[in-house]
Amino acid sequence: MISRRALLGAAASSLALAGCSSGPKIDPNRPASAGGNLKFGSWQWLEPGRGEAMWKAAQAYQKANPSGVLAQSTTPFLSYADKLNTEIGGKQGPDLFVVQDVNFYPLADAGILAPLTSVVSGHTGNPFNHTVESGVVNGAQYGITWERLNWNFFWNKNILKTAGVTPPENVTELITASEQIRQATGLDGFGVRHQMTEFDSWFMDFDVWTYGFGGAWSDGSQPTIDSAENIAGVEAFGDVYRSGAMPIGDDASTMRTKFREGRLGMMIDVSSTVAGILRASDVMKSEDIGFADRIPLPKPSAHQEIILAVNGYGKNKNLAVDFVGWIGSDTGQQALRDAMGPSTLATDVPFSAEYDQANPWAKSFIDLASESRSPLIRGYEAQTKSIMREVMTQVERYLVDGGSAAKALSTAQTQVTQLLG
Amino acid sequence: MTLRTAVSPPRARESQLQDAPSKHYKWRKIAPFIYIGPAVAYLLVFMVIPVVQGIQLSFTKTPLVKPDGGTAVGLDNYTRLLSSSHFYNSLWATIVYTAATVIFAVLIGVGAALLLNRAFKGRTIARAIITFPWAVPTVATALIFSWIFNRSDGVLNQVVGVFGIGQQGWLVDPKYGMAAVVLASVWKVMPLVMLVVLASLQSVPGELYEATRVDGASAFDAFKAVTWPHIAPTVRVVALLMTIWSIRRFEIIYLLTGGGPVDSTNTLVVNVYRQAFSNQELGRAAAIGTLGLVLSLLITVLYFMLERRSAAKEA
Repeated sequence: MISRRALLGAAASSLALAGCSSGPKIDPNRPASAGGNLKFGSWQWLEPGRGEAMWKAAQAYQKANPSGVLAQSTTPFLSYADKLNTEIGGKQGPDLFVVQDVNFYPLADAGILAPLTSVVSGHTGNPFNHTVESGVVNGAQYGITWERLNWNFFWNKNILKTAGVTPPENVTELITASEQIRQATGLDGFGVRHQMTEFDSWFMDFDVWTYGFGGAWSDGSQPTIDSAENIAGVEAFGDVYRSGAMPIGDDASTMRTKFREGRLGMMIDVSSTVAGILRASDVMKSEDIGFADRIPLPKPSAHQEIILAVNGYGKNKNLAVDFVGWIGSDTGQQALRDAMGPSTLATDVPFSAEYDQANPWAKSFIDLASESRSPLIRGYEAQTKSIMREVMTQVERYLVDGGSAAKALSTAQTQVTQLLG
Repeated sequence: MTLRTAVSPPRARESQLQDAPSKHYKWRKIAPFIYIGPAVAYLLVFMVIPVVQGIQLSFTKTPLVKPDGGTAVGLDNYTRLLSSSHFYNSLWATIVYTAATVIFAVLIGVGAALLLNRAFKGRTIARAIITFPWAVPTVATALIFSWIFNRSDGVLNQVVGVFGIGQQGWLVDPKYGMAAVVLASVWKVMPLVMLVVLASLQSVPGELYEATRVDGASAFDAFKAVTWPHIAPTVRVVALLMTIWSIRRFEIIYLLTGGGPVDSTNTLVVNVYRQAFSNQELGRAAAIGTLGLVLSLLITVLYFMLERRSAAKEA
């Protein structure tokens, strides 16, 4: 028989444990004016210089709502989406977060995110630009653009000058220019992602080539992996890959470091890369960056969208939605513009005159946003990554083993059709 | 004498306990359950329940972001897997990786243990140096090898360049991808084999070697007659552990090649990760995991069958 003392002891311990484990219950639907804490998830807080500037911009919200306190929730980029998805799968995670569109879509499609219809309908000031459509899934607004990063072609003016090279305007000239740079300087001519170890970023980078030849991975109702335009894009990339123009095996961070240190001639990368390189470089100055109006391919390029969304399982949803409304306001957008540099934002906020003058390359990236395309595959948005895994595996096979790009994409087409059932 | 009178004879005490079921008697009945309770609870919570849930999950279509929102699909995940060439490639990659890693790690580990069991000057330092890779974190190992194998600036290409061999894409060419991953893995795990075998070698009685010397046996004969019979059970156990660990190994493979080039290192575990996180298909990932579990179980059963046969032979 259990003694009374033991029983009392057990009851006291249970109460103590209960006291430790749960505080007063928070109403997840309380009004934003009640304030509270907001956990804001992003890998970008870790970006040297830029992360701090972005955090400062976000924290300016507290001037508008002093009772809303922001706290960072941060994970390195490589594991960010996995961690976020796992947390949300467990009905946890930050109150609001930024996420790439390929990862945003499945979350919104699963009905996990809080709707932001009120943010769009109640918006005043500078109107949201066309990027706002990226946050619409199944007819409802679940996110707004945090930043749209456009890919462009840029180069180190000093290296090109030393090598006597004029900026290339097509793939053949790009290969020739790279060879000339290597011969004249001993440096690598051109760098772009090219490995499956960086799959999550590479498949988006790669769209630059297929979109650049007018390709698309679907027509909205069925996959078009082996279309003539896609084949042309893959062949063009294959030509560059095999020409010896690129340092094969280097990951993006190595190539960016090389460019920053003045050891790489030309790159195709997103706008934030140039800003980051300039912020961290002792060698490169803004005036050393040469830039094109567009990537040296026949058709418009791709972009990568980073979307701000509110966790439907969050403990302070109304406050989070209020924050999103504020970030879309003129004050919020101006604060973000100062921090982001050359990214396209949710509204068309211009650069300051000084920034524009000091960074003439920046505007070229912004201008590309009007015609760039998302990596999301039309009609199969939630399956974009699964489809691209099949495609990129075949592209990799073509790059390494040679053979026919048409055959590689035809195999991918069959595999994608099987995958989609 | 004094002691004998102070303590009741065991048989008498036992009969006392049996005669009157007392507190002690009850305690003796429940004590074993209390002792094994925590271990059973641990196994249930961290092994049995997750395995059962995993198997259950493999019969559903469940997205990563809504693990409780799965729908039952029967054997669909298994039929899709078994009819896809990806799965067989993945299974083959697992078998090749596991076999190569275990064979090389055991051969080199046993060889190193035999060498380091001999007395020579600087033996302690040599042992410490050879043990070092085991202490290096796996992520650091992967980083080091990714630099070594880098096609444009890597040390390995500079070394082979001395022999007139051109730049090779150790991590980007499917011809070399698996070899590169196996090399990094063997470097990392071989010291454990060496340490375990070395410990076993030190328990071999010196007189047996003395006897073989008196009989005029060669070094190889001494190894065959004395050393190997002593270390063989240890080597078998360590090989079994290496096999199971190799089937499960993820970090070093994923960090070096991400399962590439061209899926040549896409082992079952890497495939599980891809399905669960990249494709966000928990059900399909669980089906691959379940088939991997079956593979591990088959190997373990095979090991115990061989063990029993060899014990029967010895008897």
